[in-house]
Amino acid sequence: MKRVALLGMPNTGKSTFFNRLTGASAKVGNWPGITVDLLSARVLLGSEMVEIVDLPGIYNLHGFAEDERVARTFLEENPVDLLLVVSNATQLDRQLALVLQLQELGQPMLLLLNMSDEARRLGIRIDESRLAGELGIPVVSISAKHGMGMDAARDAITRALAGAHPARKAALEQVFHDDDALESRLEQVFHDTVQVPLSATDRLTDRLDRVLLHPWLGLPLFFLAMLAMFEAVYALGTPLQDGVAWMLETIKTDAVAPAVAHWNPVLRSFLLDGIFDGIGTVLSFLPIIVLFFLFMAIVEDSGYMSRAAFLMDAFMSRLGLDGRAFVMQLMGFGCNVPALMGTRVMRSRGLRLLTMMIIPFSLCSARLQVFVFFTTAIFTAWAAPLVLFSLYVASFLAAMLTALIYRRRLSNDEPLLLELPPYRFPTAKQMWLRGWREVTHFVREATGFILLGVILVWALTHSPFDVPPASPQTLAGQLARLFSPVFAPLGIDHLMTITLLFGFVAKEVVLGAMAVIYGVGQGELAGIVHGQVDWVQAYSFMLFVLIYTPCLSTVAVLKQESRSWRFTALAVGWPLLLAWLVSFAFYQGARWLGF
Amino acid sequence: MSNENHYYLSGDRDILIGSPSKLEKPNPVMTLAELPTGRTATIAALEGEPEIRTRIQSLGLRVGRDVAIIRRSRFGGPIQVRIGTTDLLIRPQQAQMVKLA
Repeated sequence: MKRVALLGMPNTGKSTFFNRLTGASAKVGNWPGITVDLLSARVLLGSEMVEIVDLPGIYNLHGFAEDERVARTFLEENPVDLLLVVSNATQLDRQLALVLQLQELGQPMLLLLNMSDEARRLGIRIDESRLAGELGIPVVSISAKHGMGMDAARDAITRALAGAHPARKAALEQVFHDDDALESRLEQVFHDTVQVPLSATDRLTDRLDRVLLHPWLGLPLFFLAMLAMFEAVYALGTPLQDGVAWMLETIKTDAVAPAVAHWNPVLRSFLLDGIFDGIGTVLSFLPIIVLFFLFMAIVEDSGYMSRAAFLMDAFMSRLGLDGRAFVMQLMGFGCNVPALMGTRVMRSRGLRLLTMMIIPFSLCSARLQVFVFFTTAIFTAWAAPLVLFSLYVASFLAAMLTALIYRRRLSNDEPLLLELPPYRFPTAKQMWLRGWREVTHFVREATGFILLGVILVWALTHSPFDVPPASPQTLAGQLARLFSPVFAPLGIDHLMTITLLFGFVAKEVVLGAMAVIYGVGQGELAGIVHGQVDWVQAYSFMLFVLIYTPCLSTVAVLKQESRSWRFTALAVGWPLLLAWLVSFAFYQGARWLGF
Repeated sequence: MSNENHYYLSGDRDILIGSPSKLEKPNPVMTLAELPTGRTATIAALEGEPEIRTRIQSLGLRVGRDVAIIRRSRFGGPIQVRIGTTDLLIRPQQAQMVKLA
């Protein structure tokens, strides 16, 4: 099968073209020599199946960025029949540089001028046939977003592949590194073939930016936009999540439970409370992931993400992060899982890992449930909102402290150099495709891990099987007693320690587990808790719950996104330590002050 | 790229002799970081580590090209610059590496 490598700079609509050409059939796969996943798909062109591989967007074939290394390695290790290069037709003055560099590889090549509709609107005129002549390769104008010129592009690819040249690996070390010579050639080709009017900027974008990047209005508008998006995701997502939970519960009680009613009780419990609940945990995240990426597609593809960087960078750069990290951190307040997946927009690995370190501190909606319960059970009506607010502050402080501590180790201080593209609106298809792809990726990568964790906690809390589940006599109870010297200085007794074990799986189950442990219904739980712990203990417990591991799914995604067990261990271990230190300092401090 | 030629000696050389502190601070070449908002200038040279220089270059900030400052963010945040049809964000720290003619 013939293989085509799709290349281009970031923000050229390369992925849009790839989606247009391949539909939803694309798969993530491993390639020799490369540590990151690349999307690839098989499409029928002419009478032949052709494999199209989407390489990461690169600015410079000879550059030092990670993506640039990946693209180079791919071309060196994998034979390709055609280099398919996507350029942004409105920016040929710099985009042709990559085309000329790629030409040095001496492989068959085809140039696609994407966003040609935008170029026309700006009054940019490109002499396509002369450009093809000067470069010596076929050139096709397209608009991937609107599907214009796609047939011509398909034909051109088919024709370019028809020539019987054997697939070759690129010999990059032989490539002459004289970028200065390329630069003068670039000026020449550009001068000969492209006409740009004196002011070729998007008027609408300029007008919008005057408001959205306004020195005084910019930040309030940004926070308003984030709040609106946040509200929208959770206003739509919560009923969906509840719907999924209700559906699973119905299936469990009405279909699965009767079906296994006559099974051995251990096996039945394993199936219902272990495997079934594990799968339920995975499923309950799906609606929120789809929704999140629908909205992310808008924020990202519209170009607003770069504006967020412009507005927040002055503050975030002091933490070794950038404005985009702040957007992800805010999204983490809804749910950490999609926020972690969203960090993929960051090209620098160091920056990305540092952002992934701080997102789990965002007080997500699952933790909020626990805190609302505790604050209303323990504190007076006027104090409860303040206590809740203090936890949000603690969440930000923990994130900032972590960023400051790890900025040297993780972030390589790569300079912020971002393009500020004109405002564009993504098509519905682009948005759905994105959401769908993220969900399938999550299911494939995280299910096994989450299932394993849920089964482990089930085993701990259910064995030995002849005592009540999660009672002090179970393995979990014994484990909690073993750890009591660790948790006693935090004012957390061993019954509450068992709930922390449940909290590792998901914060949603903490209250349910507590009711089981205290042997009461969830309705009476507030009264019991009020009688059992004082406010210092309760606040210490909440601080611990806020800072330690958010949930198994977060851990699974930390691993899935970082592809490093070492980083995952750090991202789980450090918050555990910090949670202990903070709770210890609070509890002992408060007791010392006489509370 | 060498570091010489990036400073002009202003005024009469003789006046500067015997006052080394003044020799330390001759009129520096203006950098992109100092260009006033709304103004356009031509890029004369790029300095700094090759890694960063390559990045700056491949985003279109090449010697001989005109660059304009569109706006600055508050609190010393990034600068929005325009080269041809491309708008970029660059931090003041990196903008200092771009010397203007």
